[in-house]
Amino acid sequence: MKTGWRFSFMSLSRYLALVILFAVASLMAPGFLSLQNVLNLLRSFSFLGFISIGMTFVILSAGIDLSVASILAFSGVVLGLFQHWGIYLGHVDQLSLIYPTPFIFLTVLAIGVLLGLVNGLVITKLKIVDFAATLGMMVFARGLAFAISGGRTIFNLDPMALFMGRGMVGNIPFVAILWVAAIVICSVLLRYTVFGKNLYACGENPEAARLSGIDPVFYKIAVYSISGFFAALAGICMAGRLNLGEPRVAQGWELDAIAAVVIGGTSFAGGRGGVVQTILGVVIIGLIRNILSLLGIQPDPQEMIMGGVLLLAVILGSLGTRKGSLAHA
Amino acid sequence: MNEAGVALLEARGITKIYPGVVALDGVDFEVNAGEVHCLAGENGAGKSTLIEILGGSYAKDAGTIRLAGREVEFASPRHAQEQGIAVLHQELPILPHLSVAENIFLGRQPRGGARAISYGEMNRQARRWLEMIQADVEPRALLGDLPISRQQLVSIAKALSLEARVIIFDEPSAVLTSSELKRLFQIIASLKSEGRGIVYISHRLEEIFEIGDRVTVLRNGKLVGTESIGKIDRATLIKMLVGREIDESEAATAGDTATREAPAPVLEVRGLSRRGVLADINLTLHKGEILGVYGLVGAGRTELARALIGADRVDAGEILLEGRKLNIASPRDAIRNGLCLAPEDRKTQGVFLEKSVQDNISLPSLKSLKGGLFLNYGKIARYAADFVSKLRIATPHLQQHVKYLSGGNQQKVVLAKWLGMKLKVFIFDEPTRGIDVGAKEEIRGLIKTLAREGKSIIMISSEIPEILGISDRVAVMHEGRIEAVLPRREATRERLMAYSMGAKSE
Repeated sequence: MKTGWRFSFMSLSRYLALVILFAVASLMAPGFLSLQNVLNLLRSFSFLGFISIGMTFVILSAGIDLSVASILAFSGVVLGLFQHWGIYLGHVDQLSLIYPTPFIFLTVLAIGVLLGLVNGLVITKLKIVDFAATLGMMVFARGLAFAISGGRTIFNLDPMALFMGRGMVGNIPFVAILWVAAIVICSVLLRYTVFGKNLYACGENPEAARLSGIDPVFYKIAVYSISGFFAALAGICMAGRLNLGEPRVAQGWELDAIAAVVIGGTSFAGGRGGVVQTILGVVIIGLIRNILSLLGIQPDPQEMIMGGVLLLAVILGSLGTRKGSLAHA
Repeated sequence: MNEAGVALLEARGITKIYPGVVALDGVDFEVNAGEVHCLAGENGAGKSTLIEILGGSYAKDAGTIRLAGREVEFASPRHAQEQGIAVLHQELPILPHLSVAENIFLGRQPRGGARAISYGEMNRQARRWLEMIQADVEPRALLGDLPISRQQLVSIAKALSLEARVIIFDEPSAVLTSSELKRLFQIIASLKSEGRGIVYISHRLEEIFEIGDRVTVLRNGKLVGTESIGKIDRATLIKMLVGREIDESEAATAGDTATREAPAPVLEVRGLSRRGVLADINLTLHKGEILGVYGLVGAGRTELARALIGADRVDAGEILLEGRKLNIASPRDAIRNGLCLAPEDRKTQGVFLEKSVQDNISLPSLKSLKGGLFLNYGKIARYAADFVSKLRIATPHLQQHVKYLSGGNQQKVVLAKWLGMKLKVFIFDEPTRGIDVGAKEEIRGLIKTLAREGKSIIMISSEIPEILGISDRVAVMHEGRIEAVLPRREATRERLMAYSMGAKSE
């Protein structure tokens, strides 16, 4: 069958790209494929990995979430502020937790969910297109991050926060374990629950889903809330990794996440793909970045190349779909 | 042969053949200057095909078209326009974000210096054409901001600006209120007095008698006849339309009495209304009964089905199931209460084309197919396989995407989706449309089986034989109302058609 052939070509080309990237990298940097380096890479991929999981949910529902990187930055800043509450009381540079760190984490995650929820509500209740609504949130959340931090970087977090980003369990980075666990949980959620099945249905055809007794509005709101949750989780881990709350982190990462999801094979048209596929996309994007850095290419020209990669992925991904991938974006 | 002399537009022996269907079979049709010529016929009679050919949208397979005696061949709608024929479609092709004047002069805007569009000149000219039909429309207003009746006036102005000699109105009354229609009739009368030829398509008898000078009736792509309005009466016209004589007064309002003799109804609908779409719908449906719903396109059948299952909001009315008042705000509520719909547009609303047979069948029932917290795929596969064999769905395997199935098998998948749930009322909207003949029979058989098992069924169809072959009672809809409910023995082809055209609207 034609589509079957196309499908296998598409998946093959992804793995081929992966193999080539690994080969190039190991030629350029001996020891690239050493176990320790691979584990380190895994850690560096995890931050993008988290928001890509959330983005997968959103794109499965035929939406797009431009606000993830801003929510990520905002969450890191909130974490930092909660750990330096004392700044407002006058004793600078001392950790002054308002309550235990795990609760701070939960608060930050809840704020992330809340922002995602707002995205979902704006899209469904005010009937604003996904793109515009999350673009607004992208600017708003980033602005809020600057506003509450006064534009300053908040240094020094407590050990538990550091562990989220830097901790090791044996040889394995904790954040990588967390990422893999999140993927396992999410793929079970998508594949083995009614929620997941209904989500795919709403993504492919919301009207047919509605007539089948599924409420597409609920699922739309849910995916954006999930995306907000993962953005906040990424924000916590990122802050821990850097040991600071910084409003400028992760600029432009929403596009990397979108690229990762699409390269992984989740269709912009909604209803097709999954989080496991997204791993591949995250690794490919991460490797390309890594190689570009090894080549000594500065971050700004890197964006140029990443733009080309994203476009290529979308073009390849839209081949073979009737509507074309961007019809719903 | 006619009062005005040379025919403005004369079509002879127009034939259009589609694979397997003769849409028009040697139809003659002419319009004189200063005449309103009505074109009537039921759905699929060939009215639309004829005007598309006259308007240059379709190519004819045989026949000749003469304009003022000279033979013409239209290569495109634009070409027909240049020759002086304007078609005002029911769905007006408008660009809502452009102004009235820009819509009128689209593609031929008056130019000023440096070939730039002269908006002043364009608005002036537009105003002149609009004033000619006394349309109170500002040329600079955005067309999309105007109500449909005003948009129609703009289309008429556009036709005038194109120097159209023949103006074809395609069922304009379908989208107009009665006062707007009156206004339109005045305009048509003045166009007529200017010596233009008017073709007016409608299946409302009142309008034909009010505005027409002559009427041509088509049935099954064939010309039934052309008559002067002054020389025929309603009964004759109905006879021409439906092919046999019927007595309007005999046509019973039997529905109301018939519903009361049966046992307690399963479903009762009282005063269901939705502004501009459904008006005061009253229905009862009994256990094991098949209620056929017939009506022409636009009569509100699909809207009724959607209103019943909460897919569209309603303005008034209540729905009772087994005597209990239901509160249905969404299809989800309807399903929970035991109502479901197999929608008309099967491919875009009934099934998920990119999903497997198994996924489609199991989707609404997933909650009952869990093992503990998670879905049990073994159970799901057995559940789906059960229906695949019961309904004889032809698919190579359960994982086949539904888009590769035939129309009949897709419809069976829709049916299977609902069968596993404990539902009481099944609504089928055109269940056999676009399905090959053998499969149609099979689908009808399945519907009958459902009724025998005690389910209550509402079946909407445009095919009279299908309605008559399967229904216990037939409701006929016309302009958002239930015109009549007939028991099977009193329902005849002629009556259904007469009611569907509003033959007895008082």
